[in-house]
Amino acid sequence: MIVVSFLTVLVFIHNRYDYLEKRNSDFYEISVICRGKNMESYSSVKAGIDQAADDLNAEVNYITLTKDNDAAQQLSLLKQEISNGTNAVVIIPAENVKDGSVLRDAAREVPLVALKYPIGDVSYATAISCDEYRLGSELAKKIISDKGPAGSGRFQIIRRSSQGGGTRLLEGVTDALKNGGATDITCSAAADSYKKVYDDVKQSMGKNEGRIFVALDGDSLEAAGKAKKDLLKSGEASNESIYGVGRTDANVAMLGDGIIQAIGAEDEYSMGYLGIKIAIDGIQKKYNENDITVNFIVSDKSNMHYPKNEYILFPFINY
Amino acid sequence: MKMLKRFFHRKSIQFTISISFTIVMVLGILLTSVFFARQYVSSMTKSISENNKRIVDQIDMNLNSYLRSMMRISDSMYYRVIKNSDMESDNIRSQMEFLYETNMDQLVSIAVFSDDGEVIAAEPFSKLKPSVNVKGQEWYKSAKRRIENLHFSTPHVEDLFATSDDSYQWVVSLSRYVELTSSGSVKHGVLLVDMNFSGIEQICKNSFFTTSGFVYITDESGNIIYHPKQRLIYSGLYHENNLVDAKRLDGTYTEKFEKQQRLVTIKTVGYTGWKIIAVDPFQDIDYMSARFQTYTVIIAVFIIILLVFINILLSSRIAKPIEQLEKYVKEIENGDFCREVEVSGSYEIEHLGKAINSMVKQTRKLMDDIIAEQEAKRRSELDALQAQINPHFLYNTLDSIVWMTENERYKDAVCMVTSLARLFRISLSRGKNIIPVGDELEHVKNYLIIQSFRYSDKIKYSIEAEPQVLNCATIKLIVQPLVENSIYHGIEYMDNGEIDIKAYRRGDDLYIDVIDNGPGMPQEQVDALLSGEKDTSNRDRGSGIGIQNIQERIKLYFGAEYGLVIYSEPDVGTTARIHLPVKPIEDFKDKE
Repeated sequence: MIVVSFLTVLVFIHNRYDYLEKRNSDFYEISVICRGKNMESYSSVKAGIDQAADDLNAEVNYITLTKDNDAAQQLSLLKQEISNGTNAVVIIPAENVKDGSVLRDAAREVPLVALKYPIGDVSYATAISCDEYRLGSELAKKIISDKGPAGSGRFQIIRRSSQGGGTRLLEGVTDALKNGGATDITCSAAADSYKKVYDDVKQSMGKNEGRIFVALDGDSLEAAGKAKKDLLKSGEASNESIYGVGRTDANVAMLGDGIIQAIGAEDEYSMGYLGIKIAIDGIQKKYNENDITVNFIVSDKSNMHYPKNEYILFPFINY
Repeated sequence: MKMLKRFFHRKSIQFTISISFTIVMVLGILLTSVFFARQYVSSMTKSISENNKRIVDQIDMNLNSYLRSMMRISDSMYYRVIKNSDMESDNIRSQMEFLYETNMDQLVSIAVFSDDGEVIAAEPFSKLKPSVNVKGQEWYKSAKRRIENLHFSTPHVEDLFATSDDSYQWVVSLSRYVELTSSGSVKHGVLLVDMNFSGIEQICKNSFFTTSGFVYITDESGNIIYHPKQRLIYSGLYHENNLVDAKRLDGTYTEKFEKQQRLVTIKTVGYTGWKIIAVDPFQDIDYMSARFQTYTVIIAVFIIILLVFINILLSSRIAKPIEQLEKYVKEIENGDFCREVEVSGSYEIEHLGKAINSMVKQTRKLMDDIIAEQEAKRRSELDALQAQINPHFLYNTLDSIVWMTENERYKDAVCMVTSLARLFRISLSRGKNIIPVGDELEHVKNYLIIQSFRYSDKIKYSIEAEPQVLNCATIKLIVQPLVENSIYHGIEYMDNGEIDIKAYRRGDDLYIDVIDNGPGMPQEQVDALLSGEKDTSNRDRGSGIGIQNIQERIKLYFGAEYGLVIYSEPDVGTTARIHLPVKPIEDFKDKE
């Protein structure tokens, strides 16, 4: 009887340890639903996601859209991934993903984490982004710091409809500029293509009115920078200044060349890393219902190689 | 010690054995378990520590090899190309290009700068970025600061040269101060070799065999050169103890960082002063240790339970027979001598049980014998007591006295009354059972006087006693019944009956013979008399004490070797011989 009990206990403990080891070594299946046709625009986010997957035993499945910024497709893919048995979903929300019921239902079934862009008030879901209002505000302060009192400046705010956080960033920029005395602030309508932005900006710059362009997303910033670069190449003087939000390799190169005066960039790597971590916490029932804010920088040419800025502006994608 | 004695005082053997052995056993097993657990953890930690050291040594070797190859490139560039060239007239670019091409897997660029920060030659790039300030670069300043050394920078993005695309490279810069010959005059400059940082990353990545261990590299000041979670550190999502660890000397340390115990192995990379730091969190060791300890505890508990069980069983086997014996002895103490106990167990206990059984049996028999003896004594004494005043004899004697008185034979009547009085006085003997031989003979003499009157002198008698025997002890009323038998079973019908009574000593034995010349009896009758088959108590006429009573009383008082023997020959006579030990009456005076 004693021997049988002992053997039973031993086998139980052994199995328990094996179960714990297996649980610890088991991979969590997490679906990452992108915003566009690929993750190239979000290479830093992806780097963070991949690092977290490696550290935390997650198997990540990237789901891309057939069309950029297709909210309906995203929601459909969300439902599909959940029915396929994914353990959690990380989503980079398309603009206008506002079907709260789908998101709420999804968040009830699996842990749901939204990166970079807002999804509204969805219970049980966690949003990870930077404080866009503050980012906009700091960028505006940088502009004022470089250019002097904002009252004399002519500001043109540009953005693409499929990119950018939108409202809060714009509010941050405009509020800070207005607080700085700016009176001439023009918000261009959201352009639906890179070329449209490029053409619009090039046309505006061609007037040489000394505008200060403020781009609210990486594509717009890049388009504006390219426009200015091309004007300079062609010998057309351009005393426009370009500031903006959104890190791309081209934007950073143009920052180094002095074409772009300053870039505001989010710590997308941390965003991606935390996205997976929070998703796994949700799988393990360690729920975190508070939204998470990550850092951002506003960097110009003089400090772009400071270590703190360098790791955001020049992500070492391989590690 | 006293406490222990007090604790075990008056506790059962089983309890004492069980508790003592259990305590010793539990202590032994606990000590052994703790010792082995600690040894296991210690040897596991040592093993991991040694393994970490091997990993660090391997990385050091690989890193050294890598850095040395860079240094060799720099040396080759300097000593074989620059030193042998005149910057003014010679074009070192082709040699530089060759050197670059040969090592392009590891190199990002090679460049030579003048003292003014102008690029003299560079490969693969040629054009500096318009606004770059070479002289303000840290690698440049380091080279100029200490001209005798090679300088390794921390990882950074290469931002000197313009590229056709927007790509960038993370590099570690190796810079050195160089002497340039230009138109025969010696000028100064800086040679820069930019190494691809991924080369260093590849050396350190995936170098650990445990899931949570890793290696990172810092410079002398603790600035991180490589860390697997470098970006997280910059983001503030992860913290490292690099500033502390970089200050330590080479070796293995245990540290606690952010509530986590870690094993840290440090080795300095030769020329650069960089530190290779291997970190192995104790969680793996703790997990394995916890698992081992759990198994140890379970096995120890099992062994303890098993041994306690065996202990109880064994102590029960030892103690139970003793308890049975003890219970048995208690019953004996309470007077129960009837039970016999069956004790099983060890040989000694069985033997003890048998011995006690035998002793009880003997005691029981002795007690029974004593009881029987006492009963017989009492019975005999009762008979004798009864015989002290026999109504028939009294009646007859008184009748004879009345007759004598009526026939004016006053003298004979007085003699008879006197003899009767003396007879009864000695019979009573103040209630004593042991009297002197002289008194017993006096008693029988008075009896014979009375009887001779009654039988009109038909009976002749003599009483002879050695003087030395008169004061010996005898039981009362043993001679008179024999004389009575002689009279009533033979002589009373004879005209010349003779009864001789002799008391004499032979050694330590006292004999009293009652000899008559009566008709005698065959041996069978003698045997029947002595065994009690035939009642010779003469209850109707005589004392009522039979031959067997005399025999019993003698044996009861003096022992089995004494008693009554009858020799008889038909038509000749009978001798009844009383055999007693020679014991002075004084020996019995206080006992009665």
